[in-house]
Amino acid sequence: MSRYRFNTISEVLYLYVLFLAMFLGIKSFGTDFGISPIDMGSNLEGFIVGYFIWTIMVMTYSGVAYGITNDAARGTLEQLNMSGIKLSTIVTVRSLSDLLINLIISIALLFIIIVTTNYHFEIKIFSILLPVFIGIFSILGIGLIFGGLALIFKKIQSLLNIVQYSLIAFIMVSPENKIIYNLLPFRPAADIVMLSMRRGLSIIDLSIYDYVIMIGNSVLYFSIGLFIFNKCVKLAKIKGLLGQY
Amino acid sequence: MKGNSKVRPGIPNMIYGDDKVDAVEVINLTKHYETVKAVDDISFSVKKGSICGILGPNGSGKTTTIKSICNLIIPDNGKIKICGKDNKKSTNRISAMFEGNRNLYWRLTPRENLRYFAGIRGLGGKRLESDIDNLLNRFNLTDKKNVMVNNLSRGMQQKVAIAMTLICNTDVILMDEPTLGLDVQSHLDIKNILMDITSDLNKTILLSTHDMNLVQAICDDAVILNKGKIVARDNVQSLLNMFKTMTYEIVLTECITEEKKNLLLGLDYDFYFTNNGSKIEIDISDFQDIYTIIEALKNINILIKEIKQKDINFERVYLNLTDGKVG
Repeated sequence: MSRYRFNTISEVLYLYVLFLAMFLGIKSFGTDFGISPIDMGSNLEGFIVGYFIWTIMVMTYSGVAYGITNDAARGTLEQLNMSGIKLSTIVTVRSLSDLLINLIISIALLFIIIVTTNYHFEIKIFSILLPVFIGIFSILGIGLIFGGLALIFKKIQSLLNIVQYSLIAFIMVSPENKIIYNLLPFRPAADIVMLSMRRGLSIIDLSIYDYVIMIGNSVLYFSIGLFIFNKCVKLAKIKGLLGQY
Repeated sequence: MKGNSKVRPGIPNMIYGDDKVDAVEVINLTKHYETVKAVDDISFSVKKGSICGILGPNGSGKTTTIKSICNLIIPDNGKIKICGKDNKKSTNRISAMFEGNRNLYWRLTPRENLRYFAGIRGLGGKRLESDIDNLLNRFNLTDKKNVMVNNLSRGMQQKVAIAMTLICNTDVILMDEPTLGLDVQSHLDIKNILMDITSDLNKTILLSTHDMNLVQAICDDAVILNKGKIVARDNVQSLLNMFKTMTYEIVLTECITEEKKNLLLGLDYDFYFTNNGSKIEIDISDFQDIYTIIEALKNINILIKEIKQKDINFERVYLNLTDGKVG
């Protein structure tokens, strides 16, 4: 993080400016439409927490997908592939270690946002981190899918960017159907984080069912991601595309 | 444990298995890319502790062969064995550097790169740290060990990439264009390093390059590919000897005109015109042919200043075997 000091600061600034633009936009939109201050406050509170969760999702997803494309571009992908450890394992472990740094950045950003907006939350660190760690595998799975596609199709930055912003929909939409809701990637874990920050929910308040849903959601997307990624690696080896860029 | 167990100061310990087994065996390797046949049923083996050059013009199938050996390409047919075992189960016995300096994390230092690539192969601990120090020292990179790779010269980056293959402590090392784009001094440094690796460390090296001087200087054997097939597979010295007695240099008293060049090219010999046409190099299959050529020059009123047998270099061998198409 210190070596990429400029990049880290730029990333935090970018996320902060993007937040401010959206936050002020929503606030002005709400005032124009005469939404009551209580409803408005509640919506903005939800937006701040949602934004915090989205930054974790985006950084994790980007870490996987862009990490693979960068490795392919600089020629280190071949080296990783020759290590004797499965490429998917290396990518996953690397992303999990990146997650620790991303969490620090996201939490720092959250504190800056809290200070700027004067909205305050109850932050029980374990009640935030545990669901994030359980649920983030679903985002890793999505990252693996697009990382795998990048191995085959190479220049897919535009698609990667679209997916990055589409992730926000997974937090914002509220389907009435419980099955669809539980099937949205990271959504069950995101809601636990949301409840923890806004309603003071603690991890000891969670039921076995909550854990089963969070774990099931993660296992589902991570398994799909792993399967597709491994298939893409095999296809890239058959077509001689591994490492070409 | 069979065979030798050799420990040398300054480098990772290398343990060889059965010395009778070839380091690399490629058996009936075939690979198509859609309708293009990249490699067409090739077979060769590389002895342990030797340097084998894999050569050929662009599109000859070199890269496909090399990447198949490294299990980075899945072939259509054929088998590849590393030290007697299927290459898919022997990834820990082969390391590689591709296209010169394209193998490293540019925002990491040489030390961090070596530690990382050794780490993903399961190496670590104090022994690794001392091996890294020794390697950096051996490659004169000690004072650069904490400099990010993107701030190093290209020659130094190549050295770090070679060190990276060595720190992995594999039996077989594959190098793709290790001297590409280097200045004279760096080229010489890399050449000496490669010679050291085999003589001191007894590693097996597969070298893919267009640098024929390097091949001639350091390779024991050469496999020359063209259009997906092996056109020659022999000891480098044998290949040189095979062509040595057949190459002559004829120095002319004047530069030969295009018209006269065309007349000579009508004869069924391989002429190479140099020095603006004032020198002709000729490959012949029979000594009597030299008289035919002298007669032909006399007939087009070209006077000969000198005729001498030329010391053939490996570039000429390569050109002869690949129809003169250098990549």
